[in-house]
Amino acid sequence: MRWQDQTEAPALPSAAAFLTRLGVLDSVRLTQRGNTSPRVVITADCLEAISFHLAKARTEMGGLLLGRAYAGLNGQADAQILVAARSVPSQAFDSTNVSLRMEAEVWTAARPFLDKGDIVLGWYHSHPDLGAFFSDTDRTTQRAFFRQPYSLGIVIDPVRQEMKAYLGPDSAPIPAENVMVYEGHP
Amino acid sequence: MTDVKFIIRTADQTRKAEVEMDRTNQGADIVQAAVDNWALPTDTDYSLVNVTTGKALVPSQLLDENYVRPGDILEVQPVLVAG
Repeated sequence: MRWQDQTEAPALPSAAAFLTRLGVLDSVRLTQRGNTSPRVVITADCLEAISFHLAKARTEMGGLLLGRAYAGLNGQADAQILVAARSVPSQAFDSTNVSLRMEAEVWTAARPFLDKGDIVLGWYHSHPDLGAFFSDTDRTTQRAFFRQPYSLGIVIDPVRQEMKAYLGPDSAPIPAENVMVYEGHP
Repeated sequence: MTDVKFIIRTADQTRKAEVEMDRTNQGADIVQAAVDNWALPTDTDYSLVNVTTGKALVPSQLLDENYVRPGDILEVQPVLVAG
């Protein structure tokens, strides 16, 4: 067997063009924060789709997050603005109120959108009435399969109406103030 | 023995490799090669899909011409677990 790796580091586009599309007020809201953690933009359509999906059951459910990652405004190469524009719910899964197994078909369901330019930004799942936090299992999955610096993990408790976001292979918590719901279509 | 050259990538499309394998290998051998070369978790279930043809390859499937043609793109898709 011969194996020739052709992996290339992703070159993220600058956030400047994205911020221009946002408009002045939303750009200011997004960029003027008191910390240096990346900003997360979730479109209202995406959040509504996720909420609708996760409200269907009192067991854990989840799926993939698709969208774009943008580099910083000041020449930083690392991701500074993450835009979650679409969710792909797992349709083949096995779950309880404390566990979830999403079969591989969710990746196939995501592929048509990846072919159109979206990237796998991350994943989401629910913790019904358990609170929104990343468990050890969640951290292991994030480290194994969402290992890019821009990889986003979102956990939602649809009962307590809590949401937490985590970033990168180390599941670094993203401050709530850095997460913005955007009504438009960036 | 006949070799076949194809592309293998992760399901999130962040990793890619060109692979040349003997057609006597099986689907499981491709997954194992991806696990070994990319340090993927060994305690995870994976599916193997030929993206070019849309066909899934079961672990025991030989890499014959009906399943893997030269230049095809194959994808290693992990099952995701949460707790």
